[in-house]
Amino acid sequence: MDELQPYFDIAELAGKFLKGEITGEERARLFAWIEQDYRNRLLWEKLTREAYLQQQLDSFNGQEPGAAWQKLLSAIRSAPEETAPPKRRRIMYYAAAAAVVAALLILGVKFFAKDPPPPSPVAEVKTLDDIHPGAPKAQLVLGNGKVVNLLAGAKDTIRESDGTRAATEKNELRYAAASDDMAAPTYNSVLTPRGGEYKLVLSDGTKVWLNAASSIRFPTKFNGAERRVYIEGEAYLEVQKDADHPFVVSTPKTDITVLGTSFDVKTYADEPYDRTSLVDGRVRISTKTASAVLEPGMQSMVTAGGRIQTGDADLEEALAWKNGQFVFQHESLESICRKLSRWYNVDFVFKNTSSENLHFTGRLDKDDHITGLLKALEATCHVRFDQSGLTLTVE
Amino acid sequence: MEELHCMAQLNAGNETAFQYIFSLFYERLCFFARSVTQNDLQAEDLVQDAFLQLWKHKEGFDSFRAVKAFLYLAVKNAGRNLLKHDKVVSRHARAGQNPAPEEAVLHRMIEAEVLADVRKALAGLPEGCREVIHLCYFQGLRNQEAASHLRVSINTIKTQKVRGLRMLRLALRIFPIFLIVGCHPFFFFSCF
Repeated sequence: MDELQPYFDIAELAGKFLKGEITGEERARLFAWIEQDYRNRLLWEKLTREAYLQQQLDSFNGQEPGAAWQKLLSAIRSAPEETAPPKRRRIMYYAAAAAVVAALLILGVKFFAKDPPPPSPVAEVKTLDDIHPGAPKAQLVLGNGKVVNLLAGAKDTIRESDGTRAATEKNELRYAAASDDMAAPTYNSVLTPRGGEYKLVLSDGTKVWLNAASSIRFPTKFNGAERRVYIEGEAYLEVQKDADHPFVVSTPKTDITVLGTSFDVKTYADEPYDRTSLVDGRVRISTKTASAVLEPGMQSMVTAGGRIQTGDADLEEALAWKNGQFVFQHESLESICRKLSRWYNVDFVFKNTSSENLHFTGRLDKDDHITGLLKALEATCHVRFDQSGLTLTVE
Repeated sequence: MEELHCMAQLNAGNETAFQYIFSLFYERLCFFARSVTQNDLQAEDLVQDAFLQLWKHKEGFDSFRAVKAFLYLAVKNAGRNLLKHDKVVSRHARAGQNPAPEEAVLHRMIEAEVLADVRKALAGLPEGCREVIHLCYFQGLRNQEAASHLRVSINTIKTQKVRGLRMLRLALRIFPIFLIVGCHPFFFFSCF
């Protein structure tokens, strides 16, 4: 439960700010958090707008708490823990809920740690040596909610009651081709944390490379008219050809329909665009309002409003991550730092926004220690990194 | 009720302490749960269940913060499961209707906390506008209901509410500012 505490801290600081009770040090902490991620900034823009606050306050109290309390009171009085409550189904329900709560207490929300962590008090002093490049690592969530850690080099076999079979070997999770007698498909998910990546082969033979801080949700057996998977973050796919069953990648903003093809899809929530880069084959990109077809070597960018721009792709840059490299082609420091933070699991704070717009060109190995990379950046321009714990301040 | 005292009473199974905790957190949890489920009735059920879970584990808490974290987590996780379950049940579930991203859920929790804080400050306002504030924000009356209750126009109610908020001298921007920052799925909810 401790992982919620930093968020409570921010909420408390925000409340103090609004009421004008904030101290200088607290203010600095609050603003550091706001600057840390544009989503934090968006939340802040909302919370400090009178019209928004007013509207949210209106919806704050929906139901009379008195009635709810009476209901709760009779529930706790009629169901003492030791004796069996009258309704069996309720027990099962509570047991299930308890199991879920317990499981999550144990697992923590670390699992979803792809999102930038809020500032938390640093327990031990961290140095640059504590920042490591990413490695093969992910978590697999089975249809029954069970979580399997996929670690570098580990061998494992996964069987589910519905007949799903999968195995991990050499940092790859491979699903067995589905047998016809399998029941309705269950959905599995693979999630990589910041500083992790993983490869998987779906039951239809489609290969997926999952970049850091990304996730894919997919049925263990494709049995509809189309093969649909859900992706957040970044992935490179080599889709198995099957003209009768189009393969559809759903991202929060876009649907990408493919026949047999290889392409990269980048749909991180903290990136301004959803980008699809096509290596070969043909894909159709569609949003609620527009659609476009890509030819090999092209890329599409989907904007907030669902507009699609197409143009030539820089495939070397787009696929660099999969080939163990960082390739920056006149790329803004802000965008570079986003990539680094996902791979090295560090956070960047910009002291002034002008340095966000410095542009760099270069090529680096992903396995390299972050120091060399930062030094290289420092050597090129008027930018300096100041390290404290797992946060790097850009000056 | 003083925190340590209240927690000791809760550990011992005192219903009054439990009710106090319920009154502290019920509404903000409902607010939070509504964003997780998109359905008011389900939201209330989730919150009920969260409090039942809390009662079951009542011996294990030593601070309001720990209780609060437990309750939010219970609602959050139950909401996630509910969504999964609904998807399985409804074969016509709209494709792409993914659960809200983790960060958005946690942001909603921050909102719930901040609003609870502001609301508490509103409760401490002087008499003048407190009646309207109380009817609208604490008894859940709609603007129209509050207007007929107090026999004033609906505009009076609206003005009073704004005045109440302004009396807090919150550090707010009064005119909407449109910021085009990147693209965020929830951005559109923020500009109206």
